[in-house]
Formats: sequence, C-alpha cells, structure tokens
Amino acid sequence: MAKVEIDSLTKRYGSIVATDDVSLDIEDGSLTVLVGPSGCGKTTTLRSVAGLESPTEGTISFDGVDITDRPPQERDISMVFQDLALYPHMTGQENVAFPLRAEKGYSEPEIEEAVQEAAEVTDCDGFIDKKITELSGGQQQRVALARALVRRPEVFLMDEPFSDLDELLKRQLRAEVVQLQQEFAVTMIHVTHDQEEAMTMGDDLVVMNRGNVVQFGNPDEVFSRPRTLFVAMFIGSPQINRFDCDLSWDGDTAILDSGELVFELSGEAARPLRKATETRLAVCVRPQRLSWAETEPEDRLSIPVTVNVTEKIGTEDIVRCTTPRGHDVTAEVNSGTLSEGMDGYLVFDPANIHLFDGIDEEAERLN
Amino acid sequence: MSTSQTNGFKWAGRGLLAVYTLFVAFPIYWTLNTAFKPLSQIGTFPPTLYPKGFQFDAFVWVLTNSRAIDAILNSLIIASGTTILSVILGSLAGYAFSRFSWVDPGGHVSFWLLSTRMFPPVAVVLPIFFIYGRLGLQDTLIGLMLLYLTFNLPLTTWLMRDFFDKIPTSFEEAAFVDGYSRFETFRKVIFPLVRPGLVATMMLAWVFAWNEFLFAWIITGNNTSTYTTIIPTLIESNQIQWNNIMAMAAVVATPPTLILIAFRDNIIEGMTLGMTDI
Repeated sequence: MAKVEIDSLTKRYGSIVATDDVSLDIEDGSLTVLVGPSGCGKTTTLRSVAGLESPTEGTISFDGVDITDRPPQERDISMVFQDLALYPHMTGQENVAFPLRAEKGYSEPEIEEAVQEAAEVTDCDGFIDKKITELSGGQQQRVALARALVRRPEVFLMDEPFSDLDELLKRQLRAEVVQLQQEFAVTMIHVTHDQEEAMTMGDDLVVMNRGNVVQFGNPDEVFSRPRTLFVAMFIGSPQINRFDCDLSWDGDTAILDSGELVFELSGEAARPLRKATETRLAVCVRPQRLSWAETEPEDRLSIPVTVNVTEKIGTEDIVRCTTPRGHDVTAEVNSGTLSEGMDGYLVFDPANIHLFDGIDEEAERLN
Repeated sequence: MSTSQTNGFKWAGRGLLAVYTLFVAFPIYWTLNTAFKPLSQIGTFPPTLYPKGFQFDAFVWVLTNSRAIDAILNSLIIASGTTILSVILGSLAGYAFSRFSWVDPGGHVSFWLLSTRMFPPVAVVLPIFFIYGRLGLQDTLIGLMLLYLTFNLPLTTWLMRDFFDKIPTSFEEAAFVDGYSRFETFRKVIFPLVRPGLVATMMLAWVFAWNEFLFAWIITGNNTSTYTTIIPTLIESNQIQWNNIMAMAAVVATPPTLILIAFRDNIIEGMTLGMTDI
C-alpha cells in the first residue's frame, strides 16, 4: 500500500494539453475516483501513474519515492483496463497467474494457491478454468479483477472497467470492488466518466475538466458545495437547475433577475454576493432541494411551474416542469405526489442555493 | 421467400460451384493425364481422355534426372530461405509500424514499401542483372533469396502489421504493468495471438518464391537453376517433352498442396484476417 503524490503533472501531445499542472495527494488505502467528461485528462493522469505515459513535466511519487522515470514494470502496480486486456489464448486461470509468472520467485504450488485465493475473493472460482472467450462480460470482469488483485500491488488502477456492462451488473461490481478495496486496504485510483459511479464508489472525488483538477474532495462535499459551475452541472443526477441572473442591489437586498424570475436575497444569504465580480451570475438549486406548493409562499423562494413529465425511480419521482416562459426545471419529490399538467410552485430555501460568479463553466462558487 | 424458391437458389448455387470445380480441376486432370501418356499419344487428334498404357517414364525421369532433382532442391532452399528471412524481418518491421508511430509518422515509409509491388518486376530485371554481376551474386542461392526478399518483405511487413494492429495495445500494456519486458510480452502474449497470421503470411511468401520464374531465369546459371527455369528447357527445337513437363508440374505442385492441407485452418483464419476469437 502506498500514498500516491502527483506534483504539477503536465502532459502535452504536440499542441494538445492532456493534463495541465495536475497535483494530487492520494492517501494510503483510499479509493480515489477521477471523474470528468471525455478528454478531461483523467485517463492520461491514470496512465501516467501506471508509467504507460511519460509526463512532459512534473513528478509522481509513491510513499515519497520519486518513480516518474521508472517503467511500469518497476512500479508495483496493477491495472484493470477498459477493455480488460484478458488474453484470449489463455484460460481464466492462466490469465490470473500471468502477473505472478513475471517474477521468478514463485513456485508452482504458491502460484496455484494465490490464484485460487484471488478467484475466491472475486467470486470467479466457478469458471476460472474456462477460456476467456467462453466467459460472459461480467465473468470476464471478475477474472480481470482477480488478475489485478493476485499480486497484492501497492497501487491498484482502474480505467473505466465497467463501461460496457449492463446497469445491474455495474452496480453489483461497484459494490464488490469497494468491499475488496476496503478488505485489502489497497490504494485504489479509479477512472470513470460516470458521475453516479464516482459518487457511489469514491472516498474522494477528483473532478477534472480540460486537463485541470477542478475539485478534490469527498462525494458529499463535491455534491453540496461544488467549487465551480462546471462541477455543479456535472455532478448530481438529475442535473442541477440553473438560472442565469442579472445581479442588482436594493440597499442590503440582492435582486437576481433571470428575465423571467426574480429572486430576492437579503441578510446572511445575500452576503456572499458582495464578492461577485460579474453582474451576470448562475444561480443553481438541486432538484432534491425543491418542494411543491400549491400557492406562492411568502417567506421562501419559489418558481411557478407546470408539470410536464413525471418519471418514477422508486420512492421518488423525477418531475420535469417548465416555467410560464419555457425554462426547464427538474425536481425530485415523493412518489405519486405530482401528476402531469399540474400548476404550482417549486419552493426552496435560500440556504440551498448555489451561487456562482459568472455564467461560464469556470465560474467560481460565491457562497 | 418461399421454400421452393430457397431450394431453387440452393441448387443453382451448387450447380454453379460444380461448373467452377470442373473448370478449376480440369487443368490438374489434364496435367496428370498427359504425364502418364507415352509421348506418341500426346499430340494425337482427337486427344485421348485417359492414358492408353500407363507410363511412369516421365515421373521416373523427374525423380532420377540430376538436373531436375537439383533444380527442385534449389527451389526448396531458395523459397524456404527467403521465407524465413522475410517473415522474421517483416514481423519486426510490421510490429514497429504497428506500435511505434514515431517510426513512420506520415506513413510514407510503409507506403513506399508497398509501392515496390506496384511496378511490373520486368522493369527492374536489367538493372538488377548488372548490379548482381558487380556484386558477384549472379548464380548464387543467397542472391536469389535476397532478390525475392525485395518482393516478399513488403508483403510480409504489411500483412504482419495488419495482424499486430488487430491486437489491442492494452494487451501489451497489461503485461508491462504485470512486470513483463517488451520482449517477454512479445513472446508470451503477442506471438501466440499472431501465429495464424504468421503461418498464412509464410505460406504466401513461400509460394511466391517457389513459383517465381522471371528473375530466376535471368539471375541463375548452371549452379543454381530453380525448377521453373528447367521446364522451358524441355521445349526443344524438334520436339516438346510434354510428358516430362507435366510430370515435373505434378511433382512441384505437391509441396504447396501438402502445406496448404496441413495448415488450412490457420491459413483460412489468417487470410480472412479473421482472428476469429479476438
């Protein structure tokens, strides 16, 4: 197990900057998820840790030892690849034993025992003898995990290994991977573009965009205090509601005018807006923080809407609404409370809004 | 589509295949037919459809005549030598083209390699004849091996590159991460996966060298004549030894046939670039 430190990692391919001055401290034994849209640099960062890419600038160290110039063979890592990279000319067993055979130190019974053990913890002892081509997607996934675990590496890397699986299997494997990670207390870095996967798996989240780390923190923090407008829009399902408003002041009261809706904030809630450098700001509120009211409340903020669509997701419904002038608003309410065509108000507390200094994705959080 | 229609198509297809089979098989039949006839029966009209009075003279001639035997052995040595060289070098080059983009950034080198197969070989016969004269490579086995390499190497390089391209780079990266060097990775992961392709490529290279006539005719002399250069000498001014020619043809067609039969699964897999299981 090791602490992974990435310091000012920059990788350029010609004029393209894949990662731009990325610095991360990944704690020993933690599960850190790098998440972001395609091309955000998450995979490049992971591959640099693996030694499969050599950084243009910056260093990477494990437990304080600089390993930037070491080839992947000398890093004591294991990696699950997006396509799993299981060898079709070998059985599951031979695939799992493969990392052990790289070193000369293991005897045949030792290898067999280690393979057996890895197969048991990943639940693939039932089909480990079969050829890779005879296994289903989920079974291959388990064999790939077993292969990565068999050597008990310092750092365990996962490059979107679940992206080709169906939803149910994906959830199941996510949970199992988290469990294995805790059991072995291994330092794990997991890459995904799926924010839901990131939220459910990670001890820590690293949200990346355009080669930069935008936010590093635990999932709750990232969800409830997104550092930039990009993070607010990227993390959370359904997506956060956003209103681009012009800011003006009436004494101590801040008036946020979207052209259709007017939100008035005063007192404590208005204070962060004093720091604003832009006059057009993004005001965001999570669908989970909206509640329904038949009439316009006096003391809270509200948005008049008509319900368009309701989607059942279990105990909650996702309700897609529009304002009279056609701005889409999404809310998550208790199942069965709303139906299509209803008119009313979506109500929220000023404490639950997210204010950003500007309307582009780099706009920083104000409150 | 109704069943009767489907059946109709099926039978039409079979009929077509039967006609095609006859078309392909007839020359083979006629080769054997002629090889077993006495010379006097060969030129008759109408021709006899089977040898009246089986004669093995022609085959005996091929297998006992030292000139014919030597020529077949020369062909074997040259074809095998050039195949081994071109497959080894072609694999290495194909691997480099497939894996290291810095080797050939614009793809110009690999295209140039391929382009050497685009002009008619006869265009370079004369220059090569003089160059070989200077280098003392005329009438040597190694000379012809090297000469065939110039035609086989582009073929093997391009085919092998295609086979390597089909293997995901993650297969290698996974092995690197697991602690294997590039060479060990090649041996344990890449080689087993390209083997069918390699066999098919060897086959193509070997058959090309085995059947080559033009360069052999120009470059070889008494010491190194290949079987292809022997056959025309059987056409003499006063008679054509058709039975010997045909017997020779039958004998030299045997090795490629046997190889094809032995490796047919690999060859089909390789030729279709199928790599069925990857």
